[in-house]
Amino acid sequence: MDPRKLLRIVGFVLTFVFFLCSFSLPAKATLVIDASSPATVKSNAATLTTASFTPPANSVLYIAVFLRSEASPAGRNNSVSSITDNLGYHLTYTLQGQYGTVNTDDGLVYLYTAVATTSQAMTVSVTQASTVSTARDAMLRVVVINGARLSGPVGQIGGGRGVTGVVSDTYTSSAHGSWGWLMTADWSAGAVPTPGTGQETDDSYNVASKITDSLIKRTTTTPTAGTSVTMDTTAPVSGSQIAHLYFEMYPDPDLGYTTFASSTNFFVNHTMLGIAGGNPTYTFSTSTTFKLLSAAQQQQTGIGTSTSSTFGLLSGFLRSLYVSPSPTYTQIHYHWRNDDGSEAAATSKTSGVQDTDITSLAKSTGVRLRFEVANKGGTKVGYSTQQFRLEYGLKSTTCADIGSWTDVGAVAGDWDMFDSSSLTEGGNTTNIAAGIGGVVDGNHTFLTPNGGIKDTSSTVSAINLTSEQFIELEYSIQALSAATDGGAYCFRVTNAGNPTNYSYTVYPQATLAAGGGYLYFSVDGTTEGFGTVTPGTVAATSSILTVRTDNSTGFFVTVRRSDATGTMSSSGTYIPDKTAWVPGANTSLAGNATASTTEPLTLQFRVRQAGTDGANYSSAWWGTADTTVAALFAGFPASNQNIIDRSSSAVSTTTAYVLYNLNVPTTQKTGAYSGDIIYTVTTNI
Amino acid sequence: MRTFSRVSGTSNNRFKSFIAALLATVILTYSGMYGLQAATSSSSPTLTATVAAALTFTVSTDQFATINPGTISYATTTLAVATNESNGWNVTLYGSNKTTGNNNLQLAGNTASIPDQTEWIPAAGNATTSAGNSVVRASLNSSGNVLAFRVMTASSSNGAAFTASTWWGTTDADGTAKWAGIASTTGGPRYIGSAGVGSYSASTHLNTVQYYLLASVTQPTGAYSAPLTYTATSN
Repeated sequence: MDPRKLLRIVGFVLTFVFFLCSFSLPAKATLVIDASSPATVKSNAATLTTASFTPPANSVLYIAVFLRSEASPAGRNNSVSSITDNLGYHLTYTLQGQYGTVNTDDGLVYLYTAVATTSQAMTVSVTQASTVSTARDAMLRVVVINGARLSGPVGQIGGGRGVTGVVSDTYTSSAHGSWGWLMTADWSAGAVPTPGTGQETDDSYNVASKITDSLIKRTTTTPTAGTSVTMDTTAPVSGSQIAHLYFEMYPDPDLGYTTFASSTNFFVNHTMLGIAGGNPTYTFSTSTTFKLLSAAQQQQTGIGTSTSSTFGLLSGFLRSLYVSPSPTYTQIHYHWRNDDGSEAAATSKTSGVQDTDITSLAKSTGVRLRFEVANKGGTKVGYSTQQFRLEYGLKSTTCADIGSWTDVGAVAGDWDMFDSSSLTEGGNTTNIAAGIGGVVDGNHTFLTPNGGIKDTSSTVSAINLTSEQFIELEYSIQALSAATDGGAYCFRVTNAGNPTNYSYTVYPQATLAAGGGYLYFSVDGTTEGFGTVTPGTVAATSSILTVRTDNSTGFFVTVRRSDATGTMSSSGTYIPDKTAWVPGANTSLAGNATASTTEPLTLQFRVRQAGTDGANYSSAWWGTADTTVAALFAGFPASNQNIIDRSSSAVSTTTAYVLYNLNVPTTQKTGAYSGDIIYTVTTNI
Repeated sequence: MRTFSRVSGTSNNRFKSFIAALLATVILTYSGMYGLQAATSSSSPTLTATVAAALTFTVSTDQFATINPGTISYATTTLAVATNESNGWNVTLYGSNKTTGNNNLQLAGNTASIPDQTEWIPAAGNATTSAGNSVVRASLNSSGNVLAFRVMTASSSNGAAFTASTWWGTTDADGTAKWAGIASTTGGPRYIGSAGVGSYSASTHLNTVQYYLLASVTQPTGAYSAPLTYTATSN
């Protein structure tokens, strides 16, 4: 967005604000002590009970209890033995924290919370364990708060005991608009403590030679999450024995904005704050499109750069105008990939161009589909973990018009997962380049770890996707025999079948071969071991390749090693490869393979005549017989080279036997060596 | 994000824009489909192998020439080790003649022999970082009239990991070089050197063992011999 457009939007925002002033006046919800909060109870009674009060519905009761305890005799031991109310159906009282050592000479502080879901008159009672009135000097403060989060009303909390000077607690605020409080109980009954900067005493209680209780709060809420908040006292500085507990009242993130309907004298003051970081043109140096926009006394900070062409961070009115509080999981890009390597090494099926559909896909052929999903909305309403599930539908008009979507992982059907030998189920995708099958970043942050690699099941484990994040998912799939020949199939992801909060900017499509062509390919083992190899002695192993296709012009098989330097290695040491295989121009013309006795101390391979169907075997390439003299071997090439080229279909399964020979010189460093080779079968056109 | 736009221009311009948009749509629709293609499928097996250790060991010895009583004589044996063992290798030595009552260097029938220096005992656990019982020449037994040996620090290739300066001295210079007696089979065989992890080399490791011999004027004349056995082992 260029700055001129930005200014137009800001101008629109200001116009919109004044329009609202004329009718309903919005204000940000915040934490407020409700006027119904009862007076503090200060007493040595066994049970402390508040006056009757009526908290509003969906308010939170923060209950601060301050006690004195003594070590002996037993009757002077003290603690909270119970907390309750006078309601027919009692509220649930949750102990959020407690400091001070019970049943010893110490001050005790307890913080409870309870949620009043309905508004009704009530009292709160706290009973002390001590049976001796002179050991029970206590304070009970019930603070009724509007705007607190009902589930988890306390954010940060902590404290300690035995402080002999000033109290100094610090925490990092966990939400915008939270509120810091501090409780102290001085067993040595020193002077009422003086709050530190930016704090004030809510209430206190001093009984000479018994106890000094104090409840301190910040004078204002803390505007921004991540702020370092200090809860402290500045006096007395010595001679005390203080238990202390600080806590953060957590605001309700879902309240959003409320309307003051009865105000007759209300003003909206707005300030366009500066941009945090960047430069005055609202453009960050590493991006031509990314920006932070602040408005209405809220400043957007925290994230500086993005490669996304669509990502921006908005605050204040701008955010309300342009960003949904609910998440919008947008299926924003896709890329079809060949099943020819690991997640990071496989190639694009569409020449490196994302959002491109494929056609003439054979059945029973593994293909990989990479999705990008970005949360283009918010995290305030309806935000939860997502289980991204791959679904398909047969297109008749458009993908969007498909009425019935089917889980790819469901039993039978037209599509199923394809267990790829190159992928690990539940592994993490990485942010690969578009040229090999990646997608353009559609949001600020790539979510990892993500468990987004799927080849045996269609549903990703539950994961959160914030409004700054995008995730890339890679599914290995295949069309089954039941699929419609020539049919065009569309794909999407949902939350385990539920498309609520999902948006589909693009739909990947795959059109099957009209003739129902199919290609099946397998290798008999994922690992082929030579065992322990004695230098100077040949060791051998093999792979059996199995192919089935109804393609009338047959197929060809290529092989290459995955490591550009050499096939097998151990911690950087390579086993020598025989001269890399270069086939003849066709199966009647010899390649460069030689007898096994040439370059004997190497890794070499050949297609063996025994075990290989005749239509798959080229004697010009691999020798006229399997004898030492006649058999021809070559080394694994770094790039794909044909080892089989068959010109006829293989309606029934056909096989090829690939023999591997290994011998090493006496100087070959001991160790465990390994390396991948990649076979690819392709139908002839 | 919502966007806002403004429509303006003449009807002619709008018609041109419509045609251009239509053409662009056709082009994009066409280019958005990947053309006819062959079916393909891949598989990626892993080859594995464990390369075993191999070791060849040869020695060559330069014998003592005729010795004159009261004059120190030296001889050497070159140890040649070729191995692919990544964990290194070691060499032990013992003398077949050596027993509690017999010396290594004997006349036929053991009618006479030349005293041995105290039998070599390396540090506990054959740790090459700790000293054994070797001594400098001036501290040899019997006023130096003994047969002794040491591993030289020079005269070797690929031997740096094998030679232990704590055992045989930091240099070959007299006064620094350390000597010990050739051990018996009872006490031995004894490590005389051990090359550990990191000593791998595709080239042969060469190391030289040096012998010291001084006979007293009372030593009977004759041809003395001492059969020795070196053994090289991969770690």
